[in-house]
Amino acid sequence: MGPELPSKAGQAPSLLKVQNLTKRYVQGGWFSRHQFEVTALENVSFALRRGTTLALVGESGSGKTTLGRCLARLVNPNSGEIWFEGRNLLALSSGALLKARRQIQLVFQESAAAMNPRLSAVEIVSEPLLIQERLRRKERRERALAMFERVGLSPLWADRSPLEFSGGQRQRLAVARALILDPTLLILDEALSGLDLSIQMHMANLLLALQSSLSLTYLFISHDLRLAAYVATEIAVMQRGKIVESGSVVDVFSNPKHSHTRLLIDTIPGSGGERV
Amino acid sequence: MARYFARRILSSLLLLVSVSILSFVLLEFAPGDFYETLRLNPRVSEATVNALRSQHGVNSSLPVRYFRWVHSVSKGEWGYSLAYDSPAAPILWTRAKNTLLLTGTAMILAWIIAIPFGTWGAARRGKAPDWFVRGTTSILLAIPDLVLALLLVLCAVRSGYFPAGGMVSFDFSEMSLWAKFRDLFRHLFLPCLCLAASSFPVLLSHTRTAVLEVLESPFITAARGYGIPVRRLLFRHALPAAANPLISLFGVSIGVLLSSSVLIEVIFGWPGLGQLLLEAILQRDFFLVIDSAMLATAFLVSGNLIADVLLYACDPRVRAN
Ligand SMILES: Nc1ncnc2c1ncn2[C@@H]1O[C@H](COP(=O)(O)OP(=O)(O)O)[C@@H](O)[C@H]1O
Ligand SMILES: [Mg+2]
Repeated sequence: MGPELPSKAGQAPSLLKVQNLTKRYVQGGWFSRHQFEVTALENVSFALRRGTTLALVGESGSGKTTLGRCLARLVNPNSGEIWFEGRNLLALSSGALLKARRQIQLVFQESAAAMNPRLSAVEIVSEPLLIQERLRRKERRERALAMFERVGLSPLWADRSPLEFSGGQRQRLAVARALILDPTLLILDEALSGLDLSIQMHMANLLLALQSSLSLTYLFISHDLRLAAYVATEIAVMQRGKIVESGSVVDVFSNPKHSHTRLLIDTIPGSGGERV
Repeated sequence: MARYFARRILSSLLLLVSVSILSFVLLEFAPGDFYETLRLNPRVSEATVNALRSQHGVNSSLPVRYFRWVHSVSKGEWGYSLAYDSPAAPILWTRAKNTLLLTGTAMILAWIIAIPFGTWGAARRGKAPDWFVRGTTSILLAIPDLVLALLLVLCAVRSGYFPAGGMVSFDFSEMSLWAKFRDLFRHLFLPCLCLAASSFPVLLSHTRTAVLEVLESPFITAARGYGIPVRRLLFRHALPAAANPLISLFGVSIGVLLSSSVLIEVIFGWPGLGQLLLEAILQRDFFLVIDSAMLATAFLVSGNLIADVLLYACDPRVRAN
């Protein structure tokens, strides 16, 4: 078992605890002299309490996606530890990893690209059940259709191709697929970016409603500080692979300590920052 | 959709007609005719040659000869071979069958090895299987077909097990069924290997690239996120998505079935269409040359059509358009 997770009195214990996570990508040609390393994550540490939402903000290329994918075990970090419900995710056997995967699900930004265009909407939502639970076809379909309703999609759309969906509907489909395995932690990687403002608000409210009804924990990755502040309780600011500032949303917004945080807040449209 | 395919078939027919006309015109400019060599024989008189020429219509004008040929095609004779002194069709069919036996076997062999190996290389990118796949590709690409063929002929002669040429042994007709099969197999083995080896690296690297591209796409990452096992990932998601470029390539493989083996047929003495074509060109056996060109074109066009039909059948996105 892992180290006892620190929990302050009156606070829920950490669901997730990340310590000194480092990820370097090798980029460039085939031969070592053309190659160079990019440090996407450098000694990242943070904790996430059950039932809360942590917003991970930062400019493009700061390592947000890499962090989310490390947590979902889609990218192997070079060093560091990821403790989830008291277990080190980086030291699991493949059988235990398969079980752990259903606990942590990811919603991608480009929902169209993240779905196999050859499958129908209901197949997309129900495939995780096939892998994780080996249910029969009819049961899978029923569970998927129930999830359709949960995220506000009409079951009449079940047999259509995801390519026929609008951006917002497809994002609902992506959320349905992520929730079908009944996860504990949902990583939303720019899940609302690229949607119209009004649809963003609808989706944000849907996410909040789902969070309280299913007692979910969110890691909300976004470059949009306003959206982050709307959805999240805590916020962590990333710059060049490091978390440069973190705290509750109220604290960070009212009293930003790091210059990069101030810069990000100042560039929010309507904040008055552009006048300077 | 039916309209699209009807249009494609119509334009293919037009293409075939144009190729036939073009072949006639081009051969018109080629010097000499079948009887040229006959005249070198001192015992054959000028008059005899001229009589033969007019008997077989070699002297008639181009349009007349063309329409005679069209008429004979409609009767299923496909013109007349002067060298074999017989309608062209039976000669062509036998030869085409022999070629298809060789190239078809080689094509199937190359594809059924290339697909799993290419997929395997892509799935284990940067690891040993991938290096093996890429190494094999580069080595086979670097060896010219001619060198490979000559090496194999050398092997055949040295080993004594494989015949150095031909399609069947002289006593083939007296063999039992099983012996016939073995005899054919022994003759087929080396030319088939050689032909497969020349198309294999292309298929292998295309499969690898196509699967690799798909494996990097976000929906594969998403599927890994819910714990999909590698085998299902490759066969249910990656290969179907990689199929489009491979189907087009498959169309090309079908298209060149009749024309890719000329060199191999000549080296291994395989009595196929390629060898026939070479003889026919050297002897100016007019109709055989034209018919061979027509057959090769017909295959090329059909390969394309087959690929289109397959694409239509396999890809929901093509159907949607
Ligand atoms: N698969 C990859 N291979 C090489 N470099 C990568 C890869 N993914 C991301 N990177 C690099 O890592 C850095 C962080 O990228 P990313 O995590 O996508 O940031 P963000 O999501 O904040 O925009 C960038 O410099 C990016 O170029
Ligand atoms: Mg990103």
